Amino acid sequence: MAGTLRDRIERLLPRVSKPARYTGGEWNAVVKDHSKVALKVAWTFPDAYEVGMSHLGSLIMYHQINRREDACCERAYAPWTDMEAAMRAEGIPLFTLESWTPVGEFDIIAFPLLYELTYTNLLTCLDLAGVPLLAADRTEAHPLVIAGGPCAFNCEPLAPFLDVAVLGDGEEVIHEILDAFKAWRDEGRKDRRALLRRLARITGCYVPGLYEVSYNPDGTIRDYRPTEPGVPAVVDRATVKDLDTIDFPTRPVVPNTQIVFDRAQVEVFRGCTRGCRFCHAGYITRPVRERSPEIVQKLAREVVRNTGYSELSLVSLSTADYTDVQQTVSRLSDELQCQGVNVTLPSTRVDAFSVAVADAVNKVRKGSITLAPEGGSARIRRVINKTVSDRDIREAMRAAFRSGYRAVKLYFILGLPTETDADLQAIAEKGQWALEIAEEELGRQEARKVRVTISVSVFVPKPHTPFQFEPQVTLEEARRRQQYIKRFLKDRRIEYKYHESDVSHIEALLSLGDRRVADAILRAWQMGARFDGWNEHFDYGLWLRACAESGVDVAFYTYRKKGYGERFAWDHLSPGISREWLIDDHRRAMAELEVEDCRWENCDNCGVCMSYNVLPTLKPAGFVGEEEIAVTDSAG
Amino acid sequence: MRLRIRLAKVGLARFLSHLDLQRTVERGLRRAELPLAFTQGFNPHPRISYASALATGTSSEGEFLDVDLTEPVDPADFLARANLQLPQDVRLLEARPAPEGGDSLMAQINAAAYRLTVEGADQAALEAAVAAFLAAGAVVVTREGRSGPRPVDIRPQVYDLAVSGPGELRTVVQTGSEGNLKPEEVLAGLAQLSPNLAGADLALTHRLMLYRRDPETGVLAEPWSL
Repeated sequence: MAGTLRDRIERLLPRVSKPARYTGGEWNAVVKDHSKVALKVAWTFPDAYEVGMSHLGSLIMYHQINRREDACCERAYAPWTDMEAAMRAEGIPLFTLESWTPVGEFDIIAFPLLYELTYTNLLTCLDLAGVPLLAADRTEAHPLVIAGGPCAFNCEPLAPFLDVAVLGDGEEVIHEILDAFKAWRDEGRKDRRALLRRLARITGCYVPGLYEVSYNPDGTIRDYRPTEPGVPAVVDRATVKDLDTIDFPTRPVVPNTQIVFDRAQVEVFRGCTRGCRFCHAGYITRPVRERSPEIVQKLAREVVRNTGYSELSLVSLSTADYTDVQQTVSRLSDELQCQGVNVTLPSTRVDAFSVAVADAVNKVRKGSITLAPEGGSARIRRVINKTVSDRDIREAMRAAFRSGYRAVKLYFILGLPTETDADLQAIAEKGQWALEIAEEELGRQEARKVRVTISVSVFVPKPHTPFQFEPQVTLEEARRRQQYIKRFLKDRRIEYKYHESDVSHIEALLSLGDRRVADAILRAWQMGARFDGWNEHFDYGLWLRACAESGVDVAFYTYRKKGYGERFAWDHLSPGISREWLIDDHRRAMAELEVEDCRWENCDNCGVCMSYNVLPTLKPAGFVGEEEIAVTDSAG
Repeated sequence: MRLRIRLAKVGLARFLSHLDLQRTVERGLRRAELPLAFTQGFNPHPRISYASALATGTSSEGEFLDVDLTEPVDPADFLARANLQLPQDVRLLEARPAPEGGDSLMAQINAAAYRLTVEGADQAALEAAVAAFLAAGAVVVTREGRSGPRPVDIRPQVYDLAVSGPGELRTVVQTGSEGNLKPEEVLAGLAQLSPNLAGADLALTHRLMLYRRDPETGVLAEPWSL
């Protein structure tokens, strides 16, 4: 059966773009005998292969499932539009790369949700798998459809399509889910609702179908109520308390074809408490939990040895904040350099220290350095709690030019709450600063070679952040502000980039939407929406028509200022942060007051640690002994 | 030490591009912890050079690469260690010490042998077309160039052509920087000569070997001696 499907797929490949996306056969891919495993999971990434293969979380979960003897995890990706058309023409179902098995034959289909604009691809995947799009239409014979990742914290726009959404860290809760599924199946796989009820009792598991929503006359939500006893009114997040105790994939799948992040990755910590008020990740992943430097170094060596990558990235939400960053980076860099392996950091904090750390690893080639002040003026940076001073920005630029960089990329967000034209002008001014500092440091002659990129994205208010109460700027206003900044950029050494604001508008709709938005997603998909996160595919007009036809008022979700008392679609999906704290922090934002980072300073009682009995854990060198390192050795 | 290696890219790995193949081989050799020599400079990478780029979708058992090593390794040992670390469909078949001196392989290779699997072709028509092709003074096909399609006489670029089985052809054609013939152009040429082949489809293209062809004598030399 699989043989014939494989042959049929093979015949399509000469006709499609980038056929290596669909061939599998990668190094470290785990191929198990299906007759010897009790549970089969199809890890289905709702975006292209090169995006999905870059996702560390997927590599982690692939490893977590495959390290069980009773389970196998295989990968599938959303086929590009030409491949989708070819598959539909030939009646070929969505298949996994490990064994060319139809995804519909798996016990569980798991979708990572990293970006709202992949939601239509999720429908493509379900449809090509032959699984009913609506959870309510699925029977005991169909796979269980689960989803996790950052967007799960407001998965309401996907509620009708999902059986279960998983909130928080997946490494431990996935085993509870698999065990529950296995028990249900061993009992005869009877009554899908019994399985869902069982899953709803697991911390971190949300079963949308077991809740009833009621609405107020003005369209806002009145209430969410569990429809069965034993189903929690508020779903808590799954939380890994100590990364050192968690198995990490040191034999990740190595792609044959180029992917977005084509390098070895080791996660140095999880969570970030810098408290940037626009940042979704900074609120759903609290508190900071570091991995011990000794373990990081051991994992790094293993992953490099087992993959053959020529680059190793130490990843986290802000790697310069890692307690032992300087030592870990320089030790690994020295050790791996003789093997022709570079150590890199994914992002640079805006200060001289971080530039120095980046410089330490970037001995090889001085390309460009990226700094993200996010807000142009010191005032707006206080509003967004990006605690970077003008002096920090200047010093970071100075350090960058001094250490040999000739290109600086500056990232900003436009449309932030309280933003005025003066804040926009301050964005343009930062480009001028970079040029002035380049001339001071390098002289006029050399400074002519300097390139400065100012990249501006449009603010999207995100659930669970202090800015969840805020409206997005209108499309027209966003466009005006983009042009306004341009006026102040005269120097040819400054390149100005801005994103299409209409993409951000639909991103806001899908971020802030509730269950009623599901109709618009379905309609947009039926009208042909695919790969909405890709400029060449995104069609704003189509989305507006889909919303109009399904009775979804985009402005209601995106342009409306929301009250502190409003019941949001995501209020029962808890990352552990209290509503009171979010209101306080929003008030502080409006008063232009900063809040401290609890990793180093006082606890501000956001509520996460109390909710989940977890603490910020910083791990200086020497935190773990030799025996403990041996325990975390990954079997691969 | 420099080793010259013959490599096969088969099965689904034929859909790897040349860059993908280079990446896959490099990572396999790194995993094998072979004593690779690296380039100097800001961004060091292993000194591996390929004789010819292979098109995406084309399989091969005749790719050649030279690998520089910092210390001598027994060729058989090299093959065994490398193959343990390479994906199933990418195999190193043979390794020998590369001859001293001489131009790069890429500069010397000028001919390639292919096996073409043709579907939907009447065997008699295929045989007749091949005979006509070999007898013809010129065979003009349309080639897509940077400045649009243009007619090209491919006859001088085809050194050998024969039917080798049902729906199967073997051919030796020009390749490399002085002139490059795509195997599908051979089929296009045959279709020109025999209208009965209009519906024929090139199902598989498989490269058998790369050569240095002496332009005077037409003698083919395998890369081992170059």
